[in-house]
Amino acid sequence: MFNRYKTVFLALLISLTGGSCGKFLDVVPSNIAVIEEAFETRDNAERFLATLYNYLPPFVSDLNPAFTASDEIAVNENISRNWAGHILSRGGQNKVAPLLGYWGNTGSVSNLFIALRDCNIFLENVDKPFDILPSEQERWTAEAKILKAYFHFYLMRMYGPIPIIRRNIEVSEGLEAVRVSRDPVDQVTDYIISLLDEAIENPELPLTITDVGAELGRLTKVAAYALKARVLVTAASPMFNGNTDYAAFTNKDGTQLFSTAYDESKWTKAAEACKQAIEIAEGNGHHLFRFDKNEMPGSSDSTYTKLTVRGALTEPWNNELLWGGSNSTFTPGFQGRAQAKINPLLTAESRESTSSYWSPPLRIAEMFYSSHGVPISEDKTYNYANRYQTSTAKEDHKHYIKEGKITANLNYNREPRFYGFLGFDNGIWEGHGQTEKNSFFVEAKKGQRAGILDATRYSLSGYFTKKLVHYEAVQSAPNSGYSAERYPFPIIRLADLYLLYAESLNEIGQTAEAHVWIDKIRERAGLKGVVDSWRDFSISSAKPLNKEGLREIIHQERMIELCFEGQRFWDLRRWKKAEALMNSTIRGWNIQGEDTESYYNIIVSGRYQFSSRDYLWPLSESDILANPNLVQNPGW
Amino acid sequence: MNKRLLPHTSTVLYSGTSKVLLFSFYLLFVLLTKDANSSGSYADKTISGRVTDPGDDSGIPGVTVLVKGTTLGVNTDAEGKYRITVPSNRDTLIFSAVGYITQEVVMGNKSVIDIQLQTDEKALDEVVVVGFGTIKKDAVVGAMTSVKPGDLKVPASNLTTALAGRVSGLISYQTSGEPGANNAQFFVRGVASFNNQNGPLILIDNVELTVDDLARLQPDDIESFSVLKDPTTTAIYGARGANGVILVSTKSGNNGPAVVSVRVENSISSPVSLIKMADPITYMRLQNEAERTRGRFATYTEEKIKGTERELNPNAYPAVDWYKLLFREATTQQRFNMNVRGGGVKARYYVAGSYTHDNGLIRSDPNNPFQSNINLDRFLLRANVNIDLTPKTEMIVRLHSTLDNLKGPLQGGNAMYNAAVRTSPVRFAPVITPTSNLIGVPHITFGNDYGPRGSTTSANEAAWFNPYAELQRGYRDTRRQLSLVQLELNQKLDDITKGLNLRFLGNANTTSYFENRRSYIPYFYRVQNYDQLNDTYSMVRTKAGLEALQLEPGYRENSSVFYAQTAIDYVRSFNKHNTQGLIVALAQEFLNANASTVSASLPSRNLGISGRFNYDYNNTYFAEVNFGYNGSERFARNNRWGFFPSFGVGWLVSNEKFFTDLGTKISRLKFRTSFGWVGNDKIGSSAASDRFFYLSEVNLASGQAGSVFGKRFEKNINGVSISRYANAKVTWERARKMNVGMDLNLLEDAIQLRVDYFNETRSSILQTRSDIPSTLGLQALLKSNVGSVEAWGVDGSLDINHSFANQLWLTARGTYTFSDNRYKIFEEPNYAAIGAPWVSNIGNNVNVQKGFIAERLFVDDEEARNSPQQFGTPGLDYGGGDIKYKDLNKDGAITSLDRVPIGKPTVPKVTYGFGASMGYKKIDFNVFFQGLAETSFSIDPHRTGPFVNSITGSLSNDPLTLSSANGLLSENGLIQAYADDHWSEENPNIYALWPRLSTTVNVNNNQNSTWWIRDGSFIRLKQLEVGYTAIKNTRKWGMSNLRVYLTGTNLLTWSTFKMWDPELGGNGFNYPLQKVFNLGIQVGF
Repeated sequence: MFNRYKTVFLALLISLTGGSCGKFLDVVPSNIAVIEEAFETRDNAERFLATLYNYLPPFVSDLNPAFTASDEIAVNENISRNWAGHILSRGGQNKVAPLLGYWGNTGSVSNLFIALRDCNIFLENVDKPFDILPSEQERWTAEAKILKAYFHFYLMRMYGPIPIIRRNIEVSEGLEAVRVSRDPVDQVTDYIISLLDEAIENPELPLTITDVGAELGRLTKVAAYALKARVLVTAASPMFNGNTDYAAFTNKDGTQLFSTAYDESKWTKAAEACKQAIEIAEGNGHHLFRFDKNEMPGSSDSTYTKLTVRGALTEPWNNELLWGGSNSTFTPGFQGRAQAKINPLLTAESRESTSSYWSPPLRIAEMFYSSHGVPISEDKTYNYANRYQTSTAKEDHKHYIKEGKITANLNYNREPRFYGFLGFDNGIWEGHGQTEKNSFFVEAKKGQRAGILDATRYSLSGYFTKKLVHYEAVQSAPNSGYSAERYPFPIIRLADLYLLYAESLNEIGQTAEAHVWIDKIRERAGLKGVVDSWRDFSISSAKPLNKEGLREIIHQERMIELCFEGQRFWDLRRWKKAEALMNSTIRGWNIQGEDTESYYNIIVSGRYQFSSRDYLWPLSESDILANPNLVQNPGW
Repeated sequence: MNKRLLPHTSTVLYSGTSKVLLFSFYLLFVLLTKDANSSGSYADKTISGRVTDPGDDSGIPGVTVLVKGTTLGVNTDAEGKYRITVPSNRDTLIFSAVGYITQEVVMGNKSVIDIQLQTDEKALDEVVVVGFGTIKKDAVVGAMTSVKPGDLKVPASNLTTALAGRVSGLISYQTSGEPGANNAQFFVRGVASFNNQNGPLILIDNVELTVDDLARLQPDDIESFSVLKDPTTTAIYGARGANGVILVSTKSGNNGPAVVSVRVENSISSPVSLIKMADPITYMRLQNEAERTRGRFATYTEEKIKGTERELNPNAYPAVDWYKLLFREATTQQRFNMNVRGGGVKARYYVAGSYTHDNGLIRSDPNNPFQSNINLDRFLLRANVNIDLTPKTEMIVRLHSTLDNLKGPLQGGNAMYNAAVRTSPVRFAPVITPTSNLIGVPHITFGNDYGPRGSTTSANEAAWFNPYAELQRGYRDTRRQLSLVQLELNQKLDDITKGLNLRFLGNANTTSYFENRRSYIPYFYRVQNYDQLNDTYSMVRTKAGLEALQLEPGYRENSSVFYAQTAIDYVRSFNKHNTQGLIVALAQEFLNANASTVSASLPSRNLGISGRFNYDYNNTYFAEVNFGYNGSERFARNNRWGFFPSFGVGWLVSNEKFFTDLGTKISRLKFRTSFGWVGNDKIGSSAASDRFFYLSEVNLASGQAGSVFGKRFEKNINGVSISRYANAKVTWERARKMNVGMDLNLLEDAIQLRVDYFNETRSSILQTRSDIPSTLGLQALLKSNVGSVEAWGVDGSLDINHSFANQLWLTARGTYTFSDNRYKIFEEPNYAAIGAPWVSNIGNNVNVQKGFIAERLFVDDEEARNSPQQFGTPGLDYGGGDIKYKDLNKDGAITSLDRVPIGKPTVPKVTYGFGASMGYKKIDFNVFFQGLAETSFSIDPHRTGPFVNSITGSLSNDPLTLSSANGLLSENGLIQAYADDHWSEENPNIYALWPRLSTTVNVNNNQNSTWWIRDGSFIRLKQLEVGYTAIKNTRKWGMSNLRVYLTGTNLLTWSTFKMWDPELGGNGFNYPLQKVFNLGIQVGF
């Protein structure tokens, strides 16, 4: 008897403590997703590659500082006052949770070092999938390297010196290993270029995309060359080349982070890279965009030019585009921010299908050249003093301004890009489903359909960013919809490359060669070359003939041609012109005005602020605390 | 990857528990057959009889009847009867039972022996329930509090609200009075970790259940209620016990005729206090002041103010008292409780049913086809049946089900009370009286105005949050049901060795919850063109709605728990050596049907073995060893199991021979101490989602992480996102606990004092690593067991009992708990090295908030410009009348390095309660006070800020932002206290209660700072009761018991904080706690 119980007890105890216990606690099935699985098959690895592209900053977004924090596009405070970019542009940056900071986890945008870590994970593991083709593996490696280079570049432009992330550091390597310090900008540039060179030399990276239906938006050799040119121009620019403002900016061990001596050879390298990039691009079918006249037959040349300069941006995947952001597109929603409400049949409800609040301040409207291709303040024939007064549009302006209507003198006698890029009161808005003859025009006074009617959906300056709207976009009246062809954000396009080349050539003293490339842009925009234009119409007629004068011209040409494309914000920084230009009032017409007399008065609706410390983003306090080897950017 | 080595988990699923079950049944079978075979082995002589208690001649069940000099013995049955076969060569029987003096009887020729056992005064009813069993009260060497179920009888349908101040060692407070959402917060001996999951383990009839289940218990059904606090009592729960244990067992049947007991209560309740709001005229004047003082245009015209003042048409000049409009002043509750208890020779039962009905305070619109008020019905049924399968085998079946049927407003009562103080009284009328052209309109014409200064809605659309429309537009209908079935088998194994028992318990319970939200879309209108002369206006529709009710499925939950335990225990005395032992094996599985990820859907499991060994010598020297050994599926194999031992010793000095002389003054004196380790497996963000730390968590097809390519943007490739990196080292939190205690009874137990000192070091607290720079590029935060917290404190209770000669009796009781803690190890930057040591957490209480030190308000803008940079631009974003902070590190700017711990902890350090009961003949009287001390809370300057919008965007921990209010605007109401005392240009008081007014959120003033910290301590008259017992222990009018009583709860409160009920703390806008007047009748049949 006794033994029998004993056995039972023992069995019971063993059953509870023994082998089955371990299994009872093994609840996890074998194929639950873990990181290693991402490289088991080719398809999973491809997803990882898609993730790397996903880390590209959101270009078409309120989170792109080059839109919302720039002085090109103002948005009424009712809608934008809490936008990070809005606060940033008013001097509201802070170091506790830096606005739109891509370094660290405190801001509203993602930490780009995450992207860099994933690039390295990808590069280390892309050979793992059992079914990956060697050619594919090579191509993806090249793409990942370009992305890795671009992320470094994006961070460098924002923060200056950054730690180069050559390989991933593991937590297990210890505190001192993970506490990296910042590398000097010249080293960062060299590293970026070495990555791009590796990708360019990779035979599997295609020159251009052939499978356009599935791969447009992926990186190519053409894009890599163009990016290299952009990086080298940036590194040669005053911000990064001999910037003595940062003489005292060193790591804790004394390492100088900015080179303080100007080095002209940086411009030489940049010019070479631009030349090479242009040759490769043009050799592979890229050229400046021209509007196809058959698309809108019977229109005047003025209208074709307007559609050409606008289409260079808005025509999806046109031949001028070297790298387009397929993840960041100008959707109908975004084009609606640029669209003025112009359809005469719009009702109170159907008006709301576009938000129409992206407004270029008056200063941007003044930036465009006169019809003679020189700045309005320099044009001998332009009545600069009376530009804020009004007059009635005559027949000679009928393709630009509604005949018989009154608008400001500022809107008369301007270059075609002014009319192609901007919408304004009584200005013609070509396209929108109408033939040239029946073109709609903007009526922007209060009470009119494009004027202020509600709290948010209005332009605060009276100007509209027409450039961003595809010419076929239509806001239809009865069904309150807005349709617009979606197009990719131009990360880099050929016109940009021409202007970078012109800029580089000028900096190394090749003024005449520089004229060639800037004039290509002007010719497309319906303007004469710089030498002729200035000689004939400018009060400083010799300006294009010397380096300093031409530099100013190239800068302005660039700001006009690439207007509203998220370039000016970065250009002003690399030229060190931001302090001079970005401390400005935001002016516009009196949009509360209901008639010509009251409307054409200038109203100040805000002020941009920029101080010297804003040239570089602050590192967040928490990052400095977590890593004592990091130094804060000057002024923060 | 060893994950490949784990095949077919599903088949392994139940093998662990099923083995426990299988063996138990096998064992039972063996034992049953054995009993049948063994009868008659030594059949020489049969003795029978009955053992009774001297008090009331009732039978004593469970008395051990032993033939002296043998191991032969039986136990008496439930009626105290026994029958024993005695070998012919023996003639003495020994009768022994816990609580009685052991007697030996010589049988002689008798075949029937009835005896009466004398009670052992010292040990009488001195058995206490501890983990997995009972031990003699004297043998307790740790710290535990047993609460008399009667003390928990409060007029509320939530048991947790009764705990505050009544249980020493329990810190408790209540932050909402909303029926169905009014669980109190409670912590055993305070908080000792910063992982935010500090609630105790709650066991009801041995099964782990939730706070909600505890809240629904009826005090009438409770047999015992204990709080286990120290290592010896909690270590047996191993990895689950570190936060303390609340152990409840329900009543079981007893031998005798059916006794029916009925309790009926009816109460009226009303808010303890409401926030006093400024009148509409003051509101408008001060809103204009707020606009002007910040350099903007006034909001309200003089015409509007005057019109409101003259009480012109309320549609055109609304002046809304939202409190009055939305809520009633008082409401009612009913509770009905009935139970039957009884049993016969073979079986005993306890069956209880109860029904409670709670009404909320919310008004419904007469034009609405449904009620939006809170309406909570709770049904409860409990059946505990004990069956003697054989004299040695007892089977207990417990069935239990609770059903909650709650109807209420869509966003809940807390949100509605919040809305009442966070809505402008003058912006719009809640409902506009339809004009003649709208007579017969098939919907309620709710009022709403266009948006003002920069709203995101379009200009001709309703832009405001109308709480009345929100309340009337729908309701939610929720149901929660807990069903529990439990089987327990107790087998006496005296045949193997005396005092050995085997017990098995199997339990399955399911909880299901669902809610259906039915609502329509309200129509909004606006009053226009008011004509004062004719008192007419026109109406404009500002937003179109939809009359038909729509359904939105709400939150759903379905979970299932399976639990099994097998225990062997042993109690035996050898002369003066008393021993007791217990080994228990348990397995638990929790499954959630509403998981959103694979890993959350996998079962949560716990497996363990625990043991307890008690020894004492002569009831004077005590020793106890406990251990818990637990495994959990959440951790890597090498860290899966945790061992938690504890030790305790006690010395009952008053049992020493040398002490007898003092016996009259000091009737009992005992010293106890214990020491040990206990674990806590509630780590991570929440038990269900933050699991499997040893595995990385990856989404291999995340739409958000992917990319789009192609000419038409049609090639969409999903991406990979990582939400956790693997860390195989993550494991339990470990608590090292220590307790020293003393029991002292004076004057023949008339005064009883218990005092305990405790301390605890909690280590391996899971913490997010802060040393990892963001340049490492990790997508998910890393967590590891790095933190440590030290906690200590004192708790005690004092009881006084005295009966006077002439049927007058008095009892008094007081409890006191003090608990404090501090961060011992916390990974953080080296703040001392950067000259800001005060930012460090080390050494601070984990529940203390951090913020800036507010010096005072700025005198003027000039001073702001010349002071360290604060938040925004001085003179523009802040200036005269705004809060000035102290720049501690003197770097010329107020940054996060100037933050220090401010105020006292949000979890009170001190909880206390005291009260007295007295009776004279048939009347009894009871009073109880309760209080909290050493606690602070902060007033939320955003939520209370007059005129600002506080519902768009997200405030943390706010019932309103969960609602559909997002996107709409609000203007906070004006609290009278702020209206009376704020900085203004006429009265620039730099110490005013509220800074310079503003109609937009002032970022500078909204920082967490000492300006907003308030003392949270209070003392309140928690309960006052008068009872009249008409019948007791005699039969009259068909009843054996009848008591009528009147109770008042939360009657008076004393506190330095006057704006709202201080117990609500920072949640002052929530559904208020209730002042209750209750009439009850208790009847026994």
